[in-house]
Amino acid sequence: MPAEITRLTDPCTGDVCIRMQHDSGLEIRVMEMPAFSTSYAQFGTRFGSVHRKFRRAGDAAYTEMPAGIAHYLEHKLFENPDSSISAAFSRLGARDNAYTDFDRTVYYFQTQQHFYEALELLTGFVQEPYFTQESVERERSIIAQELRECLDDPADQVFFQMLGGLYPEHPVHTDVLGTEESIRQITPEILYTCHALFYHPQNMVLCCAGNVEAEKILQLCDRMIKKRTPVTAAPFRYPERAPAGRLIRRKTMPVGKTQFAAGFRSRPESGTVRLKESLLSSLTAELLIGSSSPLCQRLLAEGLINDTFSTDCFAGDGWFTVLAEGESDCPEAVLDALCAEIGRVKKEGADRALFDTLKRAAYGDTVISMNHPEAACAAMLDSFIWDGISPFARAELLAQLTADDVQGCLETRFCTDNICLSVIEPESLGKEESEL
Amino acid sequence: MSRKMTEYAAPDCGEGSTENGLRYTALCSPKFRSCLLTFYFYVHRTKETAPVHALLTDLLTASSAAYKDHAALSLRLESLYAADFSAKLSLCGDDAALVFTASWLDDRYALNGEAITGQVLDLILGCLLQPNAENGAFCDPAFRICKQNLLDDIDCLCNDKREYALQQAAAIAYQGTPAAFSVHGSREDAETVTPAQAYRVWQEILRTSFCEIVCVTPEPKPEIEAAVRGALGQLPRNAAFFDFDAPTAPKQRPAVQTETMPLEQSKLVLVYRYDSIPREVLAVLCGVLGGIPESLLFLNLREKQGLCYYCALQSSQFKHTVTIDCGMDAEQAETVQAAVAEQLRKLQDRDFPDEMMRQAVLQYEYHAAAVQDAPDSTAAAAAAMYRRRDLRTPEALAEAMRQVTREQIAEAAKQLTPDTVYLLRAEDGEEADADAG
Repeated sequence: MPAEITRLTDPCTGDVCIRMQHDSGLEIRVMEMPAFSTSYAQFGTRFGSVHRKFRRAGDAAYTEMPAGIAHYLEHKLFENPDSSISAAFSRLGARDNAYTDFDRTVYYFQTQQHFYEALELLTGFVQEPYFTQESVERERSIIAQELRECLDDPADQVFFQMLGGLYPEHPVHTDVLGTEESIRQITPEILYTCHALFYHPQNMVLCCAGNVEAEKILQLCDRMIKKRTPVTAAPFRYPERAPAGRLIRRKTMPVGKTQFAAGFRSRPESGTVRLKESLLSSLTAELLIGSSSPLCQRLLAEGLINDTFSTDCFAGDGWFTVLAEGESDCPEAVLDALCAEIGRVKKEGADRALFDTLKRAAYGDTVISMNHPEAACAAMLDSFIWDGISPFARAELLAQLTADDVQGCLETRFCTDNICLSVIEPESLGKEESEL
Repeated sequence: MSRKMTEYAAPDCGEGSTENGLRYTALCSPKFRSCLLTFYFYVHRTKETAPVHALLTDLLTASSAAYKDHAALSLRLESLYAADFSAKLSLCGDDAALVFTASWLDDRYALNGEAITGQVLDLILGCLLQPNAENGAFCDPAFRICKQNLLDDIDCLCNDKREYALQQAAAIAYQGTPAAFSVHGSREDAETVTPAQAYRVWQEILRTSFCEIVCVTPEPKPEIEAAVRGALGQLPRNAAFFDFDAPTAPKQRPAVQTETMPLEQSKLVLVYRYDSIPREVLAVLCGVLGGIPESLLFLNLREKQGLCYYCALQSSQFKHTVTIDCGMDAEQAETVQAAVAEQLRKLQDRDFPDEMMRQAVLQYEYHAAAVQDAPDSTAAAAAAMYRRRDLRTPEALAEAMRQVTREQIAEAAKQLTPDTVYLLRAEDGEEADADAG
């Protein structure tokens, strides 16, 4: 059966995303950008660090995998019995790599030449697992080193400490890499099981952008993508927790100044609703305490924050958090000021002119951000992972938002009875200097 | 006179013109949806001026005479479709560049047909030439806030352990020269900077610093050059372009230092110096040793021996150094050093496959192509060409790299002399006994 092809067009820029439903079940998304010198391909699956508990069709009980399994699998797929995958990409002049996130694992390359040969390599090795006891064992020390590097990173630690307070029942609070203890439990059998469950075409997307042609990519997929009967696995749905009040979590690390991240937990969403709520929450956070806001200026002048301060919205399948983070000698005072501002805006209403300015800025960001093959590729992949929505939905949803939406957002997304303040305080560096 | 091209193919900028201490280069590519204008003000550094230069990059992008605080300036930029005006201090050997960059959405994407370009130009030229200052001094509270940002940056250098280790190694390797100062300077010097001193230094820079300007737009915009030249041309400028070459002096024996910190992972930094290696030879050497995906360091230290999670390499053409840094367990420090030395011996003995040299050229060609796909990297590449005084196109350099022989690599590798060994040791690690030999 030929692939089903649709063309999604961005009304703002005229960009076109060619969306092809391959008969293997794989979704292929392509943006042809012939003026660019480089091309990018990303082959991703909806298998990330949070997908650890699932029930296969016919099973009575849920199966739980060790933390860090998706990341471990990502590392091990680069193993090949005959030759090095990375060396093969390098011979073509391409750069390959991969990453694992909470909700996805993505393998990718970027190149100026030999795009289709590199794409053949990419689609080939991701579908061909090869694990041995020896190679899985060897990887353990490399991943343990990577994990230790993260443990020394205060930005990582303040974030995961916050998630630990907000989502104690959900695997999102665990580092994507797992722990040294959890990765000790990983075996070749577990890796093969996860590959069979989550790396089938129906669960995957191939995104290409740059100096590429959709037709040629489709032909290559006809040759390379294996048709498989999907093994379905229903993910475990973690129950929503009642608001836990205002938690504070602290620890010390060798840092120069106190680091903090304050997160507001709220009801998770999916698909287009999640994207719209994320955009609205980000705009609302900017309105409250972003760099153009009077509150931000006051906190800077009072020395309570510095130029590292920022806000963000962190949302996925099972979590939704608006956060404010940075450096401060008094994080509690920053959070108090933010909560007071939330109360004030609830009472007095949002500054409409500021909201419209922020919306215009978000539009400008959106138009510029798609002006690179790598960013276009990432946007297509993001939108697939977020339940198959269009990569151009952001601009359309932005246009729908008004200052009147801010009140509802404050009520549902900035709940002051469901907060965790994570603080990393400096510890004595205990320096000593000596000749080796 | 500036160089202009209707379609940007490669950073082929020619010699440019250095009239009135500034050079303006305009590059165009219709694939871009945004415009970018970058100013490089080149300065010599001293211990005392290092923090002032860092402070100025923040001060001049946080407010201006027209927009008195960060929120007002930020709001104005947001209203221009998220235009951005930011700055950084970029180290170039013993010298530095205060790099101010504005980027904005091209006018054709404005929702109501507004002329964004003209408004952005007014805004940024105002920031640079009519700063937030009165009576010969920057104004508070903007100055106080920016100074606190700088002090916090200095205090927080240790947050990123890898960067911290690299900085500590640089301070040892380049001791006695300005390259030893961190990008922010010392806390002691930063604390003494006054609003009047910072203002004086900025006025001095405007009068005496060579200014490299690179503009990248989707289509020719002569009005940008006219506005920039009109504004900066009114200043009495007396500036000459720098020679950034500042080779690291040989040490009688390698400097060796260790420092402990409560960490999970130790960091080892090895600095090697050389006398003179042609750019194309150095590029291939660095690619084979640590630049390509399956380089000697990656293959042997990480993949075969599992000694470290990362083992990266960078070179400083102006300081004539090659720096290798690794993250590993403390007890592996000695083994890692020996393994790095072993890879260098392989280069000296010509014991590496030709394929690695070919891959080094391919990687360079990819990098050169990728640079052209974004306005910021396009501008940075053009400025770097001028700094290096090497105006070869990427194609010409790639061709020169293809002609590099194994003998040239071996001879160049023999020049790499151990200069500095710095270990940031995890507190709980066992005693490491590194040998710089």
